[in-house]
Amino acid sequence: MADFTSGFWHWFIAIGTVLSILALFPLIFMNRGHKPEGDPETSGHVWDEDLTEYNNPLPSWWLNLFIITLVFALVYLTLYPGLGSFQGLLGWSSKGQYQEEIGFAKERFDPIFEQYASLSPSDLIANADAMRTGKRLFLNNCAQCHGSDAYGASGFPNLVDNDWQWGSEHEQIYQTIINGRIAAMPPWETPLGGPDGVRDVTHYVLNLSGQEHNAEFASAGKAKYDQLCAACHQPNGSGNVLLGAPNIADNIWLYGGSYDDIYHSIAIGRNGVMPAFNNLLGEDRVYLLSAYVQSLGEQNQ
Amino acid sequence: MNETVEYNDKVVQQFAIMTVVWGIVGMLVGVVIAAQLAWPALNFDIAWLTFGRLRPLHTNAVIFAFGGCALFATSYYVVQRTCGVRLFSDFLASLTFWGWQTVIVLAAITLPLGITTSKEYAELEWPIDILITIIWVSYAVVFFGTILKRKIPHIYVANWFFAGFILAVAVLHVMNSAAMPVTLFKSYSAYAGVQDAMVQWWYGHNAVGFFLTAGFLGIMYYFIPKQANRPVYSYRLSVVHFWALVFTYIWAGPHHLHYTALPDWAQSLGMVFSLILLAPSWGGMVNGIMTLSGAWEKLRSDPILKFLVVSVSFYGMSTFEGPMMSIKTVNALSHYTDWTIGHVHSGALGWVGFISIGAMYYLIPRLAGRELYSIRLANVHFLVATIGIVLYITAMWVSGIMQGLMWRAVNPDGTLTYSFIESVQAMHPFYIIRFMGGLLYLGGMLLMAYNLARTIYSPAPAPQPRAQAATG
Repeated sequence: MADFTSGFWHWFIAIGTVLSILALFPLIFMNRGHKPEGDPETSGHVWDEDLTEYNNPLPSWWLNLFIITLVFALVYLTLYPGLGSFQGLLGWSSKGQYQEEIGFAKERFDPIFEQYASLSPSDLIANADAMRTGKRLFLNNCAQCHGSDAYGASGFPNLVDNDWQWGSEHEQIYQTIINGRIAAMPPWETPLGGPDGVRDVTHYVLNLSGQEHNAEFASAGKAKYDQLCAACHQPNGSGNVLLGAPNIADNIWLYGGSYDDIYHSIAIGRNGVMPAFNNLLGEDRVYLLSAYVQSLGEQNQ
Repeated sequence: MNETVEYNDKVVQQFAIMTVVWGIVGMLVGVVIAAQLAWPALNFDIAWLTFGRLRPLHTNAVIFAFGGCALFATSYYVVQRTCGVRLFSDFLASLTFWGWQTVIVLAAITLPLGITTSKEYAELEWPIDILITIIWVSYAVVFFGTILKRKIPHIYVANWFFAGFILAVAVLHVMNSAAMPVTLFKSYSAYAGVQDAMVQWWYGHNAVGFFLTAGFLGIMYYFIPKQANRPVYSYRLSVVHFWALVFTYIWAGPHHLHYTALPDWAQSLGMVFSLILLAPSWGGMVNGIMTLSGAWEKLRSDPILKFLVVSVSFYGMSTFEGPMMSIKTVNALSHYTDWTIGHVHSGALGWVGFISIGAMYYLIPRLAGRELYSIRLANVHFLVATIGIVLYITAMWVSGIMQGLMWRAVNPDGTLTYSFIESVQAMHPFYIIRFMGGLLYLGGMLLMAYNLARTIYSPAPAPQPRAQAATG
């Protein structure tokens, strides 16, 4: 009954529908016509000098086709929901079908992943079948952002470079996937005293990552870096996986390593989000997927 | 008719010529976006040229500009001749022409700018919707006014279909476009959530049912018997299938929302009435094709009749395909795939396109008082366009069914066999074939434009030589 605001609408729809289907029967039978003797007769009307109409009877195959669809409609609406809140004799519902299919899938597939979840991550990585399944999970769920080759894109981490923003251990990767991560690089333009301050720190970061830079600006930036940035990114720029503060000394960049990119990251900030997959995949699948993702980085050690 | 009636053929001619012009424009945009799907770089990173903005431009241009002008032209032509009177109001008829062209130009400006309600086939924002309403009411006044002052007591069947189309489109447009304006360029729908989706597809499917079907059946009922010079096959069949068609179409919309948040009962009704729609639709096909019985030999030589008859065949095919696709289990495979695009285009290119092309080849030379410049070129047009359609729809069938099967394929561990991008890769060759099909169809339209232009600008026919008195 939840579909209707009152019981009236149930009857309105049910009666209206049945009457509508039934009304089509007299429409076709009353106009069926009979095969004339000899030549077909015309209706006797003439338009635009030469437009006329025969009055042939309805073709019987066409009539039968029409009747079959009408009878089908009545049978279908007896068996399936359609007439207001009447559920149909089969008791089918799209929600029921969904739950049945989900139940079937759980029963059939969950044991596979329960089995995998009982193995250690290193055993999983050594297990070719497990890694094949892990790869499929990756392609179905992760490739949209991280790419089918897992090389990532601007703003979406490369997972094969073995540079981990949130930690490379299986347990850490598991956390990243199951609960997601929200990274917050605040905008620093105001605390740094405007564009010049951002410029100085940018040059210092270029220096930390071994890139070309202006030594004068960089040395001016160092004091500000030590004061404001080092708390998360460490004095040497090596970052902190507990905070998701990336290593900025290794010249591997999530948002680009050019002067302009780094300037943007410092002045305006960055807010990367990894969504949580707990509701989508569940613990066992994430456990296996984490091992697969870990294996991607390990290939590059 | 005792005195000769002077028909208003100026407005017919204007709409007929714009049918050809907008047909070329709309199909050109279609070819461009088909190319973008095969080679995405072709949007050149220019926002106005992106697929999301050009696609509604294509659909609006083809349905409302090309199809709309064809309907205006033919309905004004047919209603005058079958009622034996001039149009009810020359002023209002002229208003519908200039107003409708204004709507089309506004659409061509606003849609690439990204100004849209986001309702499919009803993307135009509220000021344009109001303009459409005014024009449509004027159209109804002209059409029904002409019917009311008719000299012939019986209303010809083509006019029933035109009348049903005009009335239904008025109701559909006003209901679905109801919105709360926020600025001149932005409004929000009067409906929310699943109700909005239901109203949208009630409108959307009846845009197909009344605009693209009932209206074009009106065209068929005049031009096929005229061109074949045969009586309509069955008057009673036209009565039955007219009432069954207009009554049943209005229920079919929910089949666009199978397996969504729409309640099960509404989905079932949409499916059941879509199946019932098969026979009423085929009634039109039977009447069209059987009208030719006894005149089949004309099909060999007459390109106009070829267009008209193949059009009706495509109508029969797509109105068989449609009810099949509305069945829930079929829809579970076909929905969201290219199969839907193929289905729409067998209706749009085959049925709507061909019947309009046939009608324009009939109308434009007659209105210009000339013979068609080249029958041969019209035959080439027919051949090129038919090959184009076949390439288009078969490519989309294969691509669509493949997509549907790839999306649902599952590995023994329950994961999907194919990632989404693999299905996109697999579609690429079919997108190229579809592009080529569209290109052929567009090429045919250009042939037609050339042929008709040569017809109009050919020297006026010499006055008929009078029978000479016998001389020595």
